[in-house]
Amino acid sequence: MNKVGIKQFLRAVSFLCLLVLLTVAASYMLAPKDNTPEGGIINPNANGFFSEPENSIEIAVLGNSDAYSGFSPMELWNMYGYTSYVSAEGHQSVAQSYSQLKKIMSRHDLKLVIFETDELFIKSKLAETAAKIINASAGSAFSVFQYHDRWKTTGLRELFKKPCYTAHCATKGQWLSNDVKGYVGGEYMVKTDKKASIPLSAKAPLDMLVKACRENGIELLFLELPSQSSWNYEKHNAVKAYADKNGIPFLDLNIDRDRFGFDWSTDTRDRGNHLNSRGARKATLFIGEYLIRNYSLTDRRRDADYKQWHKDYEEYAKQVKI
Amino acid sequence: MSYTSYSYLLIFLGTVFIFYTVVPKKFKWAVLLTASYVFYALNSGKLTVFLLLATAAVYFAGILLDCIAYTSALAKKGLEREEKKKLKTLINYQKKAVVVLTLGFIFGILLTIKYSGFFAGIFNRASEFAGLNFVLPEFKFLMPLGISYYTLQAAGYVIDIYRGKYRASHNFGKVALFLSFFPQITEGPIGRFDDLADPLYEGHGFSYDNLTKGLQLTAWGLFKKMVIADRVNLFVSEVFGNHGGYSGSILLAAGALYTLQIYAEFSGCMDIVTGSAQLFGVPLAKNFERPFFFFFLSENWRRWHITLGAWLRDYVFYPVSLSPTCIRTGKFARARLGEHFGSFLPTAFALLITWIGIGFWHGAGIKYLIYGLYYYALMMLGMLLEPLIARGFSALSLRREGRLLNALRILRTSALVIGGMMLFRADSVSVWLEMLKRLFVSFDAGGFAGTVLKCGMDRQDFFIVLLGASAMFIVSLLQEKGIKIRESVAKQRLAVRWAAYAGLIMAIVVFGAYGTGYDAVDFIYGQF
Repeated sequence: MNKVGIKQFLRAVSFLCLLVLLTVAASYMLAPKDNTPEGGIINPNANGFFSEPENSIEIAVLGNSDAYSGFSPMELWNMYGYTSYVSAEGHQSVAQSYSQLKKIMSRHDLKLVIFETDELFIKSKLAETAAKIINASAGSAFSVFQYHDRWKTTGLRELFKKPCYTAHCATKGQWLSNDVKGYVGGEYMVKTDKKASIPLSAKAPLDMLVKACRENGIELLFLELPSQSSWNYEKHNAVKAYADKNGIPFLDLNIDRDRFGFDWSTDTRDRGNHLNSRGARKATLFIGEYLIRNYSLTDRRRDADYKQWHKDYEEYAKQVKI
Repeated sequence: MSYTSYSYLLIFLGTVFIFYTVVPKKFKWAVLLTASYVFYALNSGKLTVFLLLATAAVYFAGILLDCIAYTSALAKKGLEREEKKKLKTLINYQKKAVVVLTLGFIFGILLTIKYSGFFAGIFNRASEFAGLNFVLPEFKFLMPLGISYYTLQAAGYVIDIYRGKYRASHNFGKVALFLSFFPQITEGPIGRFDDLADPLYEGHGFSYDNLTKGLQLTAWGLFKKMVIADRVNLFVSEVFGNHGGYSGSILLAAGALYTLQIYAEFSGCMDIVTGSAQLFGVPLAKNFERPFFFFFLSENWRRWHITLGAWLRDYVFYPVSLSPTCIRTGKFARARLGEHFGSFLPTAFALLITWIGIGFWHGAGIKYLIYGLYYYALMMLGMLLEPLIARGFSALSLRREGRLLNALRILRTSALVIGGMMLFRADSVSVWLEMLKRLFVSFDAGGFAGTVLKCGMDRQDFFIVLLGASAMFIVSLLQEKGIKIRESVAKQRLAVRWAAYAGLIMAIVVFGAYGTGYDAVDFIYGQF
């Protein structure tokens, strides 16, 4: 490269650095300064962990709508005293799960991550996944791509304000439903040796998620909650193979349904796709038994610092009608 | 893969540019050809076969035409004049047969895929009306990407060889690259082989100038598309989707904003693709020349979608207007109806065919036919009334170039263009007529202020659109005055240049209509 070439190269690199700096600055200014809906945050329920006391959450549950419908942190608390938060979003991709994990880790000292595996089979465009992974890896540095429209509602003062998270989610990320619309179809978990394939757009960020857990000394558990419409034995085999290869335990409640008294006629809100609050209670208690046997988590029920959790349980219990 | 997607801008374009830069010069065309077919296959899958068929058809037709010309030149030697004449007739007949068969084949594919359902529908309705019990199946085929664009390019290639404009290429890769080049396959511009084939094929080394200018133009195109067009789409979709609930004044605003949307989007796309091609040192034909600055409808059309207009002029209008029948009709009419009307008739006939072509090129439907005829009728009216208008001006001793008059002309032409665009955007001709009726019978100017902010765009959206459109207008104005914007910016100090470039990119990032709350908007002209 000649002198002119070097000069041009340095100039291009400097300009790119300037762009990165501007993007980071815009991201800081436009990022929501609170995790309430009014604060402009996307999916406030999934981001409620920001306003939980620092290092108070031991278990993070990641996944899509199956996870926020079928796992109940309050039941887990009431029965076992474990503190958990469901940071799940509708159609959450694995790259987004990874991004959420990074965010939770920045505030809480996690001991266990429960990853709901349904989202592994949702195909997304590789390029979009790559963009999400870049964004997730850089934390919130490029959140302007997600929150750019907040220029409409953000005042000049708020642009430079430090974040202050105030939202309170009594269900700890669970989406409660008291609807009962039973599933009356046949058995969907028909045993087979066939194996579905996990798309590369899911596998790449999953590898990153596994690595992040390992590097931070966090146990990882794969979980599949009952879902008649989105799950089958081929997918089970695919996750089992990946889990075995990476030494990750895998709890598939679609196979173990009889062991915790699951009933498709009463425990689903939409004919077999998602669980209702009764189904979530049954599933969570079963998972709790599994956690007691396999992990050394802390029962915080007698800890004075966790009084709020008892109040939250009372509020939760009032909302559960079935 | 949209031209505004991460996949295209960050991954596809970046990867192709790196490969193109590092491979030796003689293989650079192969990188572009591979990239073009990958791009096409990613978008159209199995339908890529239609592109291949069109390419093969015109490639072999070109070679055949060349062979016929070559053998006829050899055979002519030593022949008598009469025999030469006979041979020429035979050769012309053979060449015509090759061209007609090839055009029949490539346009046959286009007609079958794009228009067969429409024409079958018309036939079935006519059959039902006549009481016949004969029904044709109304197929709806998946459209291969850019079929309306590459078919015209392919046809132009064969016709030009037939006319002797240039010789056929014996390099299949060169023809294939000319027809499939990824920046222009989706929305044009419709290229000519003699302009495009060599720059595509010869291979260019790394050029910092091409890289920076290509990226600048791409960013400017993204600004037009994402900041202006996609934001305006919020209003346009709402009003056109629920037109029955809005007053004439809101419908007029929607028509005007749709005109802005389609211009910002189409010209923005042209900037993106021209910028993309510039990265590889390939200059694409100009498709827009500031159509805002026009007094007459015909001028507007000359500056709008220039390559389509030029294609139809060269391959439809001229052949029709210069055909023996047209010339004979013109002579006949001039002798009986006078000079003005006599020369008007053959032109009007050739233009009718051209405008029907423009209408149907945009889509298979009565709406598109009417769209073409709308402009045709207005232009014909202008041509017919011209002598009367000229006489009127001279009788009143008025200047035809006054400022006020020009302003009125711009206003009139804008109104006519907006009327045409409303038809283009409306679901059907009857919806368009209903909307036009509301412009006159329930305009409700008083209620405009109370409604305009409830149609999908809020105050801030309008503010951004106003700023963006003003920037676009100022740039156009400067270009109209002959100022080359990119060159002018390049002459500024580094801080000024960087502020301009970074400002443009950050404006797209912050004010672009994308992500949560916005539906991805496909390029309108990408659907043809």
